[in-house]
Amino acid sequence: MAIVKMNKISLIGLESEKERILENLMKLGVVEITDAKEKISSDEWKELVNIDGDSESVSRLDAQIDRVSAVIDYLDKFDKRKKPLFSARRDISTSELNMVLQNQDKLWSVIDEVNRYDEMLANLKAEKNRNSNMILSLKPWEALDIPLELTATASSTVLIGVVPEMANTDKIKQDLDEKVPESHFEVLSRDKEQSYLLIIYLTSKEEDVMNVLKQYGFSKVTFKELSGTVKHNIDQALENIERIEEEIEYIEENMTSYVKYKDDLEVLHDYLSIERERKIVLSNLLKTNKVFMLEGWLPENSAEEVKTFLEKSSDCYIEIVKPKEDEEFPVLLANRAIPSTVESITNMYSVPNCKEIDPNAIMAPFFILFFGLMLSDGGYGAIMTILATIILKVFKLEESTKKFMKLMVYCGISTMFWGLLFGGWFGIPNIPAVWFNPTEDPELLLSFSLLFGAIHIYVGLGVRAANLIKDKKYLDAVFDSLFWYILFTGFILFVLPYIPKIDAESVTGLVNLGKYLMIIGAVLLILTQGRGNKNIIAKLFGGVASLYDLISFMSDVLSYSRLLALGLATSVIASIINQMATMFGFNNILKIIAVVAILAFGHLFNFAINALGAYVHSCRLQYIEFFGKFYKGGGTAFEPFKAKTKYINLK
Amino acid sequence: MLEILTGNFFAILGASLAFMFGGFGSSKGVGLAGEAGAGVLTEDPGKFGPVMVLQALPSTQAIYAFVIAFLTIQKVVMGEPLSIAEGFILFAGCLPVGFVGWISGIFQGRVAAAGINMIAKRPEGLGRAIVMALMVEMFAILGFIVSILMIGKVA
Repeated sequence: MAIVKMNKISLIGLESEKERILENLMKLGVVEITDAKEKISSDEWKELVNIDGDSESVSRLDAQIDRVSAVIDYLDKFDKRKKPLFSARRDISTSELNMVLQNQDKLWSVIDEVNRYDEMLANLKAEKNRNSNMILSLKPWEALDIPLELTATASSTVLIGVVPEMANTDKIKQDLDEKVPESHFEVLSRDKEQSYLLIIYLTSKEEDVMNVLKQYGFSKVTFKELSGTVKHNIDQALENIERIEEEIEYIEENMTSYVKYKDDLEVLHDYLSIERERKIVLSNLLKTNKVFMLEGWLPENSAEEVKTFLEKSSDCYIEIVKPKEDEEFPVLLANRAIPSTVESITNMYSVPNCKEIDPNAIMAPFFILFFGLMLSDGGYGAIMTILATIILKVFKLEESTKKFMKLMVYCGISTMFWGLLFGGWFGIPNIPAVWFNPTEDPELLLSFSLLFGAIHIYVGLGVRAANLIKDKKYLDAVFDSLFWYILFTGFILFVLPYIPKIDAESVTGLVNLGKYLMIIGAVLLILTQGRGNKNIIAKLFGGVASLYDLISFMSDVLSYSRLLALGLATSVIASIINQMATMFGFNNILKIIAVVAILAFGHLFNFAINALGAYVHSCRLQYIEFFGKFYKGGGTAFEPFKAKTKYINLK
Repeated sequence: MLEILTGNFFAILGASLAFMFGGFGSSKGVGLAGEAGAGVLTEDPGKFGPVMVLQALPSTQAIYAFVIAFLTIQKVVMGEPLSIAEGFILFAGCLPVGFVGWISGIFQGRVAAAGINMIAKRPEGLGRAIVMALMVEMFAILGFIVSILMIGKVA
């Protein structure tokens, strides 16, 4: 029941009514409009129709949406309102939407202004950078009190420049004094890389000065665009920075005043995306001069309703038919309660194929039980259940988050159930177990883990049979499921003595039975598994090769030993945390605080890492061991033509 | 000199090796995945959730090794030393979880890093990336179970 039956809809309507019909379809939100391009490739259609489409409007809307969403993201930085932990779309009524749209002009001018301010901000920040860079480059010259534009007098030259740090400045001074006594030499400052020099000399002696300086790797520095003393320039730049910062502050304050438009901008954004959706779908339509045609899928149970509604509201011709036997249709899952919560897990693997049984209802109980067994501490389960319940009650959630939280509630309950059986509650020792304590007897839990695995795999084989029966392939169901059951059961009975905690003496009868079942099963499989091949030798060979599946059955079952491993890891670590915490003792307040802190952080960490582990490993057991037995997947999800929005929920 | 070679010593040596190598594996694995994750997050900080899940996967080897080391240490009581035979059993029992965890941690980290790069391009591939990384983890799990069963032989 879980995969909804789909019908095919074809609609021919007047071009003049196209907008209205599409709007109605969108409002109904139950029809997936399929691409009609295939039709146009056949000759008899090519003569008659063209592909509709409005790529111009789509790209115009795309550009508008980009502008609006950029501004929304931008304003988000200034939005001081508290954001909820779980964001859900706001409900907006049509009249509210219309109000926003009436103010559209205002919103567009807001967008322009925000963009203008943004540009101004960028310019100001660049300006600020320029000024602080200038300060950095002037800082070493601060001691220079000659104005920078003064590079020469009538007969002398003022020269500033740098030498590498390793050059000995005393030596330069000596050299200069010797060779060009008509000069003044001064070290203004030094840093890790360079020494900053001032030299004043008689212009006529320039060559001699240069000869000396060259030896020390001197390079000249000029500040062409600056005038006045260095000190003056630095002060100027500092003043500029201060002014710029004030301006930035002022603009950012102004930005904050635009935050109040953010909500309306979000509405506008979603309105534009709905428009865009409506234009995009046009490219799936066929048209002539006067009429248009669309094709699509809709759930069988809403077919009549859609037909009467559309025919009443507009002039159009509608035909609804059942899909052909071998025709693939998009998959919509209709599950209630528990199975619906694991749909996303199945879809993460693959969307079910439209022909097979929806695995969610069968997989859900296993997923939840295995999760609980792997987390296995009732205390953690209780916390999980309580937290998820509170989140469900307090917050307004999107549908997918809601389903996930519900799944967490179920998983938490399952964890409490196993905690009760194993006596595991926050790793506290000596709580009596209803069943047994796995840390004391890991071998027993190993045996049961393997048993659970075998049951899971048997159920998987059963679903395979059910799928084949659904397809009316009764013989295949016998060959591909029943015969495997015989072989696997024989194998399980045969290896019973090797399973821990089983008394080898008491099962000899069963082992013998297993031997015969295995032989019968193997013979039957050798005879039937190669039936797809053409000649007799290939048939036999195929049959023999198929027995390799026995090995994979064994490794599949052994894979369930993770149920023990993860469960044990949780409970052992929980008890280690308790031991470490109580080592401090309780004789003063500081120690008690330390104990509480270690307990809180330790259990939080243990819970987080093991809940994650339980979740992903429980997924894996479904994907590989369980789905591997029967699940084909590869379906396409049903995507009805409806308003897809990001911020609002149109009522 | 020889009197320090008691059963207790071998048991502690085993616990030490188990955790050292399991810890090596997880450190390397989580590190590899983390490097890939940081690269992806610079492009798209919104993927922190899935990246974190994948990065955390190779940490289980150290956890299994920790559990084994702890269970072994618990069997060591200083007053009444274990016999040499018991010490050797515990020592041998500690090896699988340590060495298998070492190698599988590194390789699981590589698969997780590749998975992180994959979800950077196609976020819907998260399920597949996780399953591929868990394939490697299977061996660490088996090593853990083998170790548990072996050290369980010493009462």
